[in-house]
Formats: sequence, structure tokens, C-alpha cells
Amino acid sequence: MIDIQSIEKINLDFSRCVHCGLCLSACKTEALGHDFEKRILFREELCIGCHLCIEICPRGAISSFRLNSN
Amino acid sequence: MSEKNKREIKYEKTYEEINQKIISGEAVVVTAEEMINIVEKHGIKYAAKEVDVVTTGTFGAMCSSGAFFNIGQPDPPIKMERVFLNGVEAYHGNAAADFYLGVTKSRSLDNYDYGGGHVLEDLLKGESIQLTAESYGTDCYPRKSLEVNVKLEDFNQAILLNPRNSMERYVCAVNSSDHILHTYMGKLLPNFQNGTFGGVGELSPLIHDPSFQTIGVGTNIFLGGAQGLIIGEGTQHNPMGGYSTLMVKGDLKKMDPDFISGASIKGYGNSCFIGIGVPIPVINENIARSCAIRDEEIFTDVVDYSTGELNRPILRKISYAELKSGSIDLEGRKINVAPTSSIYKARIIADTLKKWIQEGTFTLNKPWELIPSKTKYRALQKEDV
Repeated sequence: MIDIQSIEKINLDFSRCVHCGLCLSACKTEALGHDFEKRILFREELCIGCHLCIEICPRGAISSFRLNSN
Repeated sequence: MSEKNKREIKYEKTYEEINQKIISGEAVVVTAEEMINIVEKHGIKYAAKEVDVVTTGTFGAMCSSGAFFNIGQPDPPIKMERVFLNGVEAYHGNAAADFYLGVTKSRSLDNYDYGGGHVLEDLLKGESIQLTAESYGTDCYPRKSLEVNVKLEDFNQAILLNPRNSMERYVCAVNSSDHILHTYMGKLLPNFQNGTFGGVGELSPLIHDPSFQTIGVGTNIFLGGAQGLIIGEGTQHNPMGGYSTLMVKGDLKKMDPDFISGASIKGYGNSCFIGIGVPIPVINENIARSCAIRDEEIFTDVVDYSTGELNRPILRKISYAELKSGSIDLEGRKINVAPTSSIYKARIIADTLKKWIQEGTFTLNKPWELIPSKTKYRALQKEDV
């Protein structure tokens, strides 16, 4: 079982995001998607913290943080 | 034009008539997406008669972009030989204090965290950047070095001048190999695990006038959040192949960092997202028809990037409707695909241009010369010597 508290989750900085879609091409769990207006939509509950989107984002809009049980 | 064709084109408008309607606030201006609905509901003839201007938009990484700068001379003056803006080297091969900063130039050879596109974005955000220059010194330009902090307003000119922008369409890239590829189309996972595609389909400017009946030198456009101009065909302009391009210019000082945004593409390098919108005057029924083209009717190629060869294998033709659905069928497999361009921002651009025209602050320039429609891109046919 995955220790959910040890996963580094992602944070999306929408002030940097240009809503292209490159992060979608890396996301395997559909945590990242487009809404009906084609804006990037992040569903945190689906994120498994693989971080593939972080390195693929051309705007440096995605960063990680560690979940803390406290 | 033959007499027969003249008779077939019932509704024709001149630029003067359209501009008069814009000035009087009577012009009917719609986005390319709205035009599709109008034509579906009322037909081509109605749309040609009633609609005056169709606005388009695109927003994507456009590597062939950059800006010419002129900085006032210090005392004593300098004939700049090497110029850096925030550590990013600009091209100098012009007069003493003129230089060109390309958006793909990276600050470091080790990573692509910061490049020319980021410099343009920082300047537009009002940030101060470091300008350093070196020279050998001459009798007329004695200074040998310069290091100053400058803002956008400190430049005499900052002219965005992009040799190749707004490509008509782009391919969908996939990877059949067993290893990850880092490309300008993003990270392509092995064994067809993903795909990325360029262009925004039915919003894309050049899709709506592929034979260049209205777009030409002098056409005014939305460029980076301000009014810009088309100054000619872009490099690698390939209308016969369906890959037309534009060369554009505009005053960087009037632009907006929301539409000029630096990019770092892992394993490839730096680039810059550029926002462009072209107004298409509905001068006849042919234009009305091409302005209503739908994603289902716009096709591009699915291309295997696993080979390093120039002519990569084309795996199939595909519509933008299928691409925008988020997954494509490839040899019986479902592959998730994602855009490299922002459809969301493209819509904002088309809407903004529409608003400018409706408000009367943007009238249409009649092109001085139309963009060529019969040229074709050629690969290099020479052998290494």
C-alpha cells in the first residue's frame, strides 16, 4: 500500500501556467486535464506524485511539496 | 476572374465598406468558432452577407521569434561586439548599439531554465534587467565595456520581429522507440504511450485564408497583446504543403506578458509562447466558407519522432477534432494526446481582437501585397563536402 503521507504532491501556480497541455501528456492518472473552457484543471485527489508533469512544464508552473501528517 | 466566377460570388465587400461599418459601430464581428455556428445555422450566403470580420487566435511556442533593441549610447560611446541581457547573449552584427535577442538563446548550455523569451517576459513585467556589453574600442567608439541595469522604457526601440510565426497547422508527434524522447514537442514516452500536437485547429489564423485572398504585407493583427503587423511570408512558408507561416513585427513596449511568455522545454531548449490573432475580412463567399472550417475538416499528420532523420515516418492523417478529443486511434491502440498550444489563450485572443474591432479601436489595413500562396518548402539537397 502506498504511504499517502510520504508522497510529494504537486502544486500548480496558475500565475505562470499558460494552459497549453504539455502536462497532460505526462499525467497517467488524469489528475491533470482540461476544463470545458480548455483551462488546465488539477484534481489533487487523483495525483500520485509521480512528478512527470513538473519536468515537462515549459513554464515552471508546477512544483512539489511533501504532505505532512501534522 | 472569369465572368462565371464573378456571377457566382454574390456578396462582396470592400475594405472601405467594412472599415466604415467598424467606425460607425455597425460591423458584425465574430470569432472563428462563432462563424462555424452561423454558417451551420444560416448558410454561407447569409454569413457572407451579414458577417464583416472573423477573428482568429493562436498561442503557442514560436521559436522563430525575438526582438531588435536599440539602447542609447553611454558617454564615452561603445560599438558593442558582444551583448548580454540577463546573461543571455544577443546577436550583434548591426550598428553600434543595435542588437537582436532571439527567444531560443539560452543563458546556460547546461540547462534551459532561462532564455531570450524569459528576458522579453521580464521586460514586459516591468523588471530591471542587466545589460552587459564588450567591445574592442575604436577611435569613434572608445568604450570597451558596459554594465547597466535597464528597464523596457530605457530602450529607444524594442521591436518584436518574428521571422516565422503562426504556422497554419502542426503535426502530432509520437514515439515508437523503446526510450523517452525529449523534443520541442515535449517529452514523448516510448512505445506510443503519449502524443503531443501543435496548433489550435479551427481557431488558427491561416487555416481561414489558406489561399491568401486577404492576408498580406501590412495586415494589422493582434500580436503579443498589442497591435502588430504582418510584414511578409514567414521563413519555411509552405502553403502548397499546408504549412504557411507569417513574418510579423510589433512594438514590444505596448505588449503584455500574458501573451509573450518565456518557455523552457526539457531536453530541447528555450522558446517563447507568442499570442497572435489575425482578423479576416469577409470580402466574399469563398472567405465566408473558409472562415467556417471545422476541426473535423482540418487534417494534419501523426509523425513518428523516433527516427532522427529529416523525413520522419507519417503514420496516419488525423483531424483536429480527433486530436482535441484527447486520444487518438493508432494501429488499433488508443493513445492519449495533448496540445502544445493553448486553446484557452487562443480563444481569449480571438475574443480580444473581436472586442477591439467592435469598439472601433482596430480598423482593417488593406494589404499592400498578398502573401504568396504557391510556394513550397524545400529540404537541403546538397551533399556534405
